Amino acid sequence: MKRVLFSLLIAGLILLPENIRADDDFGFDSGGGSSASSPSFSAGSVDVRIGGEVSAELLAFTDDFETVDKIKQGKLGDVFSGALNFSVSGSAADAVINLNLAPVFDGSASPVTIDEAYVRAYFGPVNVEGGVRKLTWGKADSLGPLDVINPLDYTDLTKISDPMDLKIGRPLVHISWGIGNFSKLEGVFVPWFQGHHFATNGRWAPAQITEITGLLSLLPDFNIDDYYKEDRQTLEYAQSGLRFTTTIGSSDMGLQYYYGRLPRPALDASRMSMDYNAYHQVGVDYAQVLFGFNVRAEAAANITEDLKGDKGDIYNPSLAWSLGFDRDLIGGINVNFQATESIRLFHDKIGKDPLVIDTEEGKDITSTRLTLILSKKFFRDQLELKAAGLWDIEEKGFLVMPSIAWIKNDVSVKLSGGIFGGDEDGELGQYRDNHFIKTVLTYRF
Amino acid sequence: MKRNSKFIIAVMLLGIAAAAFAQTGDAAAIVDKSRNRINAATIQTRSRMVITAKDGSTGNRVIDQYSKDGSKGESRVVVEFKHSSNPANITGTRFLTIENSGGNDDQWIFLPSLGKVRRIAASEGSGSFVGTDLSYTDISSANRNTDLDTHRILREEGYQGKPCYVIESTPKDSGYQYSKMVQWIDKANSVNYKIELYDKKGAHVKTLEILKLEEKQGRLSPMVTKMSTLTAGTSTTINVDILQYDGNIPETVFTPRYLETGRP
Repeated sequence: MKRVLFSLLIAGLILLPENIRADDDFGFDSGGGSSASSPSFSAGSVDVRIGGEVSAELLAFTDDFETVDKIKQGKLGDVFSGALNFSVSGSAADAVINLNLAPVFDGSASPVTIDEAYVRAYFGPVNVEGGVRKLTWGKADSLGPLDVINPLDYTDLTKISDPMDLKIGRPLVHISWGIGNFSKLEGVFVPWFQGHHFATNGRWAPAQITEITGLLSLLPDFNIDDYYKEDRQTLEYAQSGLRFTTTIGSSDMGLQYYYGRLPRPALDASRMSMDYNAYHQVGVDYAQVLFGFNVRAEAAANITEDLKGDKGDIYNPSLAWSLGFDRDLIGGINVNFQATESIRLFHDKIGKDPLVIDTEEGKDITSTRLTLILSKKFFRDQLELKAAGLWDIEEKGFLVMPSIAWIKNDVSVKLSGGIFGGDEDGELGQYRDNHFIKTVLTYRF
Repeated sequence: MKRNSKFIIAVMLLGIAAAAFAQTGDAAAIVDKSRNRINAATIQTRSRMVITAKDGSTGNRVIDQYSKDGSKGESRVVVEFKHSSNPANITGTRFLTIENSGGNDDQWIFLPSLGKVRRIAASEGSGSFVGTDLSYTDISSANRNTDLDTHRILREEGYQGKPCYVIESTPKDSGYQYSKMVQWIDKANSVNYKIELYDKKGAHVKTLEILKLEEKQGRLSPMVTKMSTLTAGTSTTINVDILQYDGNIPETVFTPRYLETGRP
């Protein structure tokens, strides 16, 4: 890792000489005005920036305090985490490297991981990006049905409140073509596939996964950790998509098609294996301000290869939608609400054949999640009170996350917590013993 | 670029000089002249906002703004926080506002942490604008349509030696953040030197003042403006470090695509 950091430093030094564009860069031409400085992105100039953050965090789970012995076994988290961000902007291209830092004292893993690392080149109205990237498609604020490109990391649900933190950067090529001023056509190609990450042991290991892996772990060569970490690096797992967005009047709308793999694995009981099902997605989205409410909506059809609903190792086709809004209400309290639902098609076919063990057996036909975030800022945004809640209707599971944050320029102190509840078999309710509280001191630079 | 510039440009324009107008205009005409009288095809500014807390500690925001009317005369403004002296959590943030004569303005924001351009409501009312003493309402108040308020001349008096009209403007909409605004407008050149802002209970809560005027490209332009929050003992001073009228701003700047990349 020292070698990587050294290489980055050398690369930075190589890029630094002569025409460094920096904060004095302003405007779009060099003449005419008083006090106007040099033009933006003039040929031969580069803008080099280094940023990042360092955090000190203490994390405790309430069940660690049940007995004296448990208190003694408490770990209070990793304490340190950080990020280093490097970017270089030239006249026709940007390069970005964002690294995550985590303490590893036993050499079992790298303390530095790539969050994003990509180059973006500009060819008039066309931008081409390549590298490890997090892309957001769709209008929803919180992981709507159209936001399908990056898998999510569910190995630590204390970070669930930030969707971008959950996303796992993926190697991809992304082309964006600006058509006129308010329309855009995008294409993405993701040559490899990786599903969502789930913990395979410990307090965040979901029962839905451990049940499947419990069966498969009986096989002599099966290692679930390897399975999740493994990239499916063949074109068989390649994914691609097209997205068109435009603005008509005061409405933003989009249409997209995506061919990919569902991010949750399906169990093939007959072969004692699991795989990620291929699917096609066709979706639309819409955003508009109505009566002061920022309204956002998405709808999608996810079409798998189980077109009759009778294949146990393939998820049924489904419809999905989300509808959300936000606005400031009385006293400047901001309300952000989102409802997201998935509706399984051919649900009645599941379990009909006694010889087929269906990966979706026992599940409800719909899966509906409500997300509500209330926030209020005080003292010119230096103090923020926030409460976020997730409610899974069918599973009656919930998560409530209150927080208070003090932000003074680049330094912040945040105290937050998470309270899980509901059906112990549910996606959230199964963590009912994982209530947590954490405090984080962060410096961003 | 006749009217409806947003954000700091809007605040700055409070003092833009107009041609001398008649000594005897009615109150609404005086306010309208003061707010809207500017003659520039485009305006570009870099402003350094110094935020001062009650204990004297300070923070900075550096804002670049580009303003140009659209083909239908609608105001368009891009605001970006690209300067590295900004707090890291707002660096890279960009706003686009396009005036919509048929309803609320269209506004989009790009937040690096969000990773996409997002449409937002045109006004967040009394909320602080990026941690400053300016509210979103303040930001848009300088281009506020004169017809939305009832105006009356309270008196004529000198302000820093300049003969001024003192005009009280009372919003017709009771839901507006302020119950009234009292402003000192130069009788000779329409510069609006000072505005006192009163809350719904009638208490004087904020004062906006022009501290420094300079001639720029033939226009008398406020280069230092200060908003003070009297109840909190805080203030935000807006120093216009770069000001350029009639410069070239590509049309592609006023698009969501520019918000994503910062590239015209």
